[in-house]
Amino acid sequence: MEGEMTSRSGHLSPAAGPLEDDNLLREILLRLPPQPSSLPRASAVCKRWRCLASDPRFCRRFRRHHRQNPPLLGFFNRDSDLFPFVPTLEPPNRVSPGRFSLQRREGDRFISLGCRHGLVLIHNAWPNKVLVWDPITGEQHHLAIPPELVIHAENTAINGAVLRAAGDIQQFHVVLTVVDNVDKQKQHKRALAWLYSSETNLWGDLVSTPVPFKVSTSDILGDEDDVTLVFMGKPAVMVRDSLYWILAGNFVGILEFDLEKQSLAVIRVPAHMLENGFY
Amino acid sequence: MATREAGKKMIMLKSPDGMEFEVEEAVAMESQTIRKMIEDDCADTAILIPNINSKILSRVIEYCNKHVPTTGATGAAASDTVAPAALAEDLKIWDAEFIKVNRATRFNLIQAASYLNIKGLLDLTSQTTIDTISDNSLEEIRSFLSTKNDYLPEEEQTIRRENQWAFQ
Repeated sequence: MEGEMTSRSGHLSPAAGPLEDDNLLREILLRLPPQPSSLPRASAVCKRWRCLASDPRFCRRFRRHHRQNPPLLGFFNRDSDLFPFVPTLEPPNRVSPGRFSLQRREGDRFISLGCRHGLVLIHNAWPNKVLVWDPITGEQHHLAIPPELVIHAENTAINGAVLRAAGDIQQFHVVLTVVDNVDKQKQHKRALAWLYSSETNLWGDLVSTPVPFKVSTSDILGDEDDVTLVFMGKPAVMVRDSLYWILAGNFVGILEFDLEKQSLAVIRVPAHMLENGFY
Repeated sequence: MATREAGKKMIMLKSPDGMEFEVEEAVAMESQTIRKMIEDDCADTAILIPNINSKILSRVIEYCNKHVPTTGATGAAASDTVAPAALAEDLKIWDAEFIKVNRATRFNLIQAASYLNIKGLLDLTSQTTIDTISDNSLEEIRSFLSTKNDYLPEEEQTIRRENQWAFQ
């Protein structure tokens, strides 16, 4: 028996070069460097190139192809209320800050909780939602925060982190965390966390761990001295499968969320290590 | 069913210009398209490969021969004695030599790699094409790839203005 192959693309023409075949041109353009100027420049070559290079499906493939070595385009300055984008590459890859500006609606109160894997996590204190923003595609996901967190979010700053699974460019996870300062029994403080997965579009069960409480030696300092916070001044640090935040206030230490086990833990640190702005 | 030395199964590949190439099945299976045919049992003795002439097909087979994973006992001396990193480096040098071909041949190899679904060869040939143009101006790219600029001057201006930073 003799086998004969049939054309995969259905229109293989030996006479035409690969640049005339959309499938092959796509394969070639896919391997342009991942620098931000690549696709806009390719689009200016001719109409057909523009058609291919601006196709959203192609753009997704382009990102997936380069996911191992994405360039660092710049950073968002979270010290400024509008957290403007600050490009760090040289021209022609110096993306204009306006390309990554987040539009606000009346009443929005944005607090940046950090960036990771090409996503920005923002707590919108009013109307108490979190926003996951992909500046490259412009996609925005507005998530209602877990109901049990709402009461805390009104009293204390909440912190969190956003991340994608390795090599994924579609799905993402969000972790929100807070220290329960509402409980009247202040000796029984707990750190709380929730994990959201875009695959299920659900928040997981509440995860908690006790936070040590130091009884105040002086009555003069009052209630404020009883409060422990997940420190807002620094975004979460991710090491392997865990996220880490600083705990500050009555108890000073590190809070760990293990993404694999979905568990929280408090790590004690040597006295004075995290005091006086040594963060 | 053709078999030869050390029980290796052989496959016959035929080009449209009548040439026949006997290759080890493992080498032919570097092509995902051929692999599928073999696995689906559609390739007992010979496979006719349309549209890829013998000159290009022989280069493709040369590439697959070099890139087929070597298997301990029968796969020469390579994998047991040479560290994986050194092996990868050797392949990189070999690839760089292999792709030193004229543009027409390279374009034919891109077509063949896509058609036969050989990812490594498609990467190599497409990447080489991109590398030759990525530092050039738009005019140079068009001339090098014989692509006609079909924009009206004002259309091109609009496109440049949309992402002005990318043209600085």
